[in-house]
Amino acid sequence: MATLNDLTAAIEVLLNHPMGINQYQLANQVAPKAYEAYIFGLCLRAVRELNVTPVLRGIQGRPAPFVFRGSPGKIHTMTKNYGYAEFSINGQDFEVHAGVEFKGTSGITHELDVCIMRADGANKCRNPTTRGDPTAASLIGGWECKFYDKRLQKVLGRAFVGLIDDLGTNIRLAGLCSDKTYGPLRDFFRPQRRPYADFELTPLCPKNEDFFVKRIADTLKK
Amino acid sequence: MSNHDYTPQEALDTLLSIVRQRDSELMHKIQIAIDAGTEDQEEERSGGKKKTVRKYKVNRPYSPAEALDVAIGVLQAYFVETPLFINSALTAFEQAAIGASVKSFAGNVERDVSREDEGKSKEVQIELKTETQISQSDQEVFPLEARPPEEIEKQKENIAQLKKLVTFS
Repeated sequence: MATLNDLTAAIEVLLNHPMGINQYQLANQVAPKAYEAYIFGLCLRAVRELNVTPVLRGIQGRPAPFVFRGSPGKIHTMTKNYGYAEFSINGQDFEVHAGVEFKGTSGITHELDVCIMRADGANKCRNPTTRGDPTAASLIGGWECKFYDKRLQKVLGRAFVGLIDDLGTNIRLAGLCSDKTYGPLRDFFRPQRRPYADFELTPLCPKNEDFFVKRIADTLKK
Repeated sequence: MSNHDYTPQEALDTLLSIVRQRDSELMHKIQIAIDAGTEDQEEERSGGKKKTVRKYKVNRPYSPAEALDVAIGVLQAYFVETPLFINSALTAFEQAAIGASVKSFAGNVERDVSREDEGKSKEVQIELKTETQISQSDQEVFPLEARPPEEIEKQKENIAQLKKLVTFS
């Protein structure tokens, strides 16, 4: 029979592990961005599934290190050597970005945590003579990434559906990614033309990862 | 017959008490997750001729057993999932090539891609001091560093063991 002493010992073992309480402060600081980096990485994996090697770039040159934005920013920002990835499929060039702002059809700007866009649209926005926010028309896919340590909130669904609605009809793929799930929110995304509910998207659920990656690869092939 | 000499409430109190002593901020996160409660669907059958079923949602607090599950979910998110996200991202970056120079604005991709970097680990950072931030940061960037998979596995086992000790059904 399990005793309270057994329980206390198990809790202590968990907290005292090198990846327990001592690394919590670090993990807490970057967990949401680490989740975005993970989804960015899944996009790179989707490209590789098509036998294409993605190329990492920095806006100022060689991305060493590759820098993820800490807050939403402009695609042309030169403050730091922010990183992105590029790849070509069927003669068309694309880029993967994180935390870049897009101009919605209403004129307001929206940040997408991770996105795949047409490279010509990105080039135009980086060019000093035509600098600006990328338009929704250049988007191929966009994902909101929510690392959550608690139940997902309904407001996330409403906000993301509104955001995608303002990004026009060119976008082929959109999803709310989270390491957690919530039944009612999944139902909210069920109707046709709503973004996908990419819930429980975590390395702890490899099937969900495979499904997510395949959907991106299939969309890029079209 | 229960395999525990403690109740779910006692188990929850023990877990929260130990976490509170070790890190009050983590404890606060767990408390928020627990206090969010949950939503259930309830049904009410009418006894009239039509015998209709009316369904509606109700909010309720978590039971102690459910709250334990939520609390362990929070610990798993930081102790297991976050290191896994970092390792997964770094693996994906490792398999990419590197473009050495600034990309041409004309749209033609310059042939400057270093294939030698394919398969090599890459230095990846998360910006902590953002471009619009005025206040000082202790640290400007956070370098992503791979965690030993065996350590992550061990923490997964520790989480599984804890879940076993708080499973009452």
